[in-house]
Amino acid sequence: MDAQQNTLEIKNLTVEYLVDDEVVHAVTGVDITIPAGKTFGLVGETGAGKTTTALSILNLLPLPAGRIVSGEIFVNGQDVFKLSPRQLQAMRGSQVAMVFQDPMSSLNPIKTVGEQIAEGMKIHREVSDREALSQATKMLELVGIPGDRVAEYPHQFSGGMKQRVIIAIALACNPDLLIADEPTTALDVTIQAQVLKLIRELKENSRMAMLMITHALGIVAEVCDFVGIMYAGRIVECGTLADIFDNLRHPYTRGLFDSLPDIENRRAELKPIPGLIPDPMNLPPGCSFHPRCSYAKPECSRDLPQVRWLSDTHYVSCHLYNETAENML
Amino acid sequence: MQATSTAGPITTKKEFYAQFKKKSIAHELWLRFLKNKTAVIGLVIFCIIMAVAIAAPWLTSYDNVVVKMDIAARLQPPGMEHWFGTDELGRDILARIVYGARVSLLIGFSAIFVSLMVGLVLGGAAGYYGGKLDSVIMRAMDVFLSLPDVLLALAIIAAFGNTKLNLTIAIGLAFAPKFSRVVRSAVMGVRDNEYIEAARSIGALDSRIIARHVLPNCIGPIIVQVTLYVANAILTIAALSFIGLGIQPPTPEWGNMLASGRTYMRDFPHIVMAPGLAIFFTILALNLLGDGLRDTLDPRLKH
Amino acid sequence: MVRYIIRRLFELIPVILVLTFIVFTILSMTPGDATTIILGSDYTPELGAKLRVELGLDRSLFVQYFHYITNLVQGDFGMSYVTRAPVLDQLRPRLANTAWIVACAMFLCVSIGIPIGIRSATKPNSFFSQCAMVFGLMGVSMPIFWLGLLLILLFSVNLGWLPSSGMDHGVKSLILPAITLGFNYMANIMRTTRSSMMEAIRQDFIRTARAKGVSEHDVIYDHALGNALMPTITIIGMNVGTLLGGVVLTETVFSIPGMGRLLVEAINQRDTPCVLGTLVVMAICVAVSNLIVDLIYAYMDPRIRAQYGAKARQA
Repeated sequence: MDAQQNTLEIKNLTVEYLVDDEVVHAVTGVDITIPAGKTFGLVGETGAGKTTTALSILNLLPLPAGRIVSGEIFVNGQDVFKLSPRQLQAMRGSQVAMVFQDPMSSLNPIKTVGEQIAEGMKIHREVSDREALSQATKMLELVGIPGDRVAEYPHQFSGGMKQRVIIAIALACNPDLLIADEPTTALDVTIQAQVLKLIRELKENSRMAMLMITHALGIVAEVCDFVGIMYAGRIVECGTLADIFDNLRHPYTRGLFDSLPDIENRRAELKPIPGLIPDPMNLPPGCSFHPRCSYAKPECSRDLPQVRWLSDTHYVSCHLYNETAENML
Repeated sequence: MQATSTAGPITTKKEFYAQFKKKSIAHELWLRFLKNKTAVIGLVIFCIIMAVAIAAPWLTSYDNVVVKMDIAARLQPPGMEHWFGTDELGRDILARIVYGARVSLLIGFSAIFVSLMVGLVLGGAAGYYGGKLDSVIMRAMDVFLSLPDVLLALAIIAAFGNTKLNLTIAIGLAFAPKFSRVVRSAVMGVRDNEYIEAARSIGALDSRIIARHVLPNCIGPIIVQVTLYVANAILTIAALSFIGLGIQPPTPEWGNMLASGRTYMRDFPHIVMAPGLAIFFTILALNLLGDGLRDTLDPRLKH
Repeated sequence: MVRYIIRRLFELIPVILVLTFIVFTILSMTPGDATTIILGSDYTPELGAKLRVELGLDRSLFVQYFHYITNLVQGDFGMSYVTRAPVLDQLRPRLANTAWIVACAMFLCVSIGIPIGIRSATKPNSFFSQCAMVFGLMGVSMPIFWLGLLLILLFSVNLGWLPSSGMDHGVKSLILPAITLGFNYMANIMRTTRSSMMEAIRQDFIRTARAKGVSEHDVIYDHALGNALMPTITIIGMNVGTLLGGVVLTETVFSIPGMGRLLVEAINQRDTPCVLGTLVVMAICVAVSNLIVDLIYAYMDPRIRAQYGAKARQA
């Protein structure tokens, strides 16, 4: 695969946090590849390491606690970890943009939304103040906010509109990669639908690649081309949308889909996954999922499962598939 | 499974909780406090000062050493016989410092006690009842807060004279508006909690709610402010005594010791060192202690 | 915005009235007879009684206060019991001296305290930051009258660089008093700036700014500082009063002929109109400076500004 084709390549990323002298294994051995124009959905429960993965791309981990232990990240072919701080700053906002989870606090309260959108443009492009502001007005309209609100302050907007402003900020410089970390989780359901629609439109109208982080499979189905299922810092299964939705192989993936309530069969019992997410400071030996897995075998508590490619696009990391590629669930 | 314990069934509340091996909250807070090194230093220094102040009559004699003049021995620098030297009237400075601690601490604590009482009533009422009462009280307090404490105390002293009682009341009243503010915001923080609503819904009287639910939960911030304001009060007493409107000589007070020693300090600098250091360390200790208490009692601020 | 300013100015008037009334009332409770002080050795009961009526001391408290205020507004602070001359004559020259020292102190505090606070917030575990914290703690615990004496010992007695008293040496006379007066205040400002900067840096919008590619310098000095300045200004404002309280001490230590020393002398001489005059002037200064700080705060916080100003733009 020609590396230039892929907007994002994460190889074997391992990230730790140091908290009160204890090590938190946030992300271990993660691989993600996103070709230009495609959307990759990173799915997992809270605490699985999705946000940490995203922050690592832009090297935005909170210091001094966060530490990238090993791995490489390539954006448009460039090795992010080898960039100087200046080069990194140049990349942020222009090649890679990020939308965070909580819109309420992500905007600077003492600057107008117009200024905040225009700021990125003034940094990454040679534009005058007036030009930048007029572009900012256009961006607002792109995300569905009346352009004359460009001089207003964040506190004058509702949660959903703030999130749109943040999307406008992210898109201001036409990034090649947009990282969206649970962009709709903090919003009301109806607003969620609007924002998702916006995201889908943007995806269709540009060659922008997107990393969509979410715990909601419904959103994945709407927007994503590829899906990676993350558990306790590792990707346990990864493939195209069809691979995962129609052909899932990993017991955790099965558990995720099973725990969705079935609207057709309302009398059926809910099937949650038993147990709790493991403590990242104290991961279980072997496969991190084995204490909760109904298919667990003796080797699951001893050895880490290897990555097994089931097709060109689909791989799974589970001892069930050590010998066979057949569906074992 | 057969119970093998020979103990009978659990009968008291103590035994019930004991089975969960719960450390009391006070114990946990104490351990947390101990982790803060500067706070511990503050506590130690303050305890030393308190101990010295309380033990003063046993350490030295008031009449023979503190106030007795001995012109022949005047203005001696620190040495074996007089560890901090002697002052302009030949009195041992160390002994005067020791007695000075008594005066400062006594008036400081009494004044803040007055402030606290006034503050609890006004701030508690304003915070708990809110509405119009709150507006009225707080506006009144705001007006008083416009006057700096030293000036307000000065006004009161100018009018009523500077006896120890007047000093206590003057300083107490000067700090009362600040305390009212603190109590009010602590009460307001607690008032909106649901267990207050629960207590009210079962018909508890306001006074009972305030006494048993609201106030105990406000103690944290109040204790922190008490510590910090006592430091302020001691400083104010010393300041007032320095300008001659506080404790008058020959009663030893760190501030008036500085004032009377001032004339001689060019040639005998030792005379202004000890009293100044005493004030400085007392206030430093209380500030460290107050900051430490604040860090211990407010979990939010830790990270 | 202008309407807000005018409204606050109007609100200032009742505050000043109440303040002056409080001070007036407290001082009117001074035991002893003013007439004996004024007449001194010339006192006789008849003269005393005549003087009482003349000065209006036989009227009720409210009437006296009313007269005082009406005179005050016209610039008449009454007559000193001691100098038998208008109090204003004593106040005027002293006010200038005090103003100079306070202004210098504020300038020093803000220009040193804030930058140190910012620097120590951006690298909280550095040696610089630890030193700054220690300095801050020492600073708020230091009794300024002792500091003044120490500075005199060092810079006047030992080194001979700076004068130890009076205002006769121009700028040199201002240095030690300004440092002394502002010491506590500066440490306070430094600590407050540090903690509000650290708080601001922790906020989510800083992460957004970094993700946009904003340079670290702008993240700190534009985004974070802009937000951190507001609580800092509030604290600065709340503590202007302590500066005025410190003025009394500083002027005593450095023998500066200012308002603070005048106040102490007047109290010692039981010259009530003079005491009243000084306290009133100081109270007015505090009230006005509180107002100025509030206005600066309101100007900086767009939430308040929008309420009172930008509404017109929203059409």
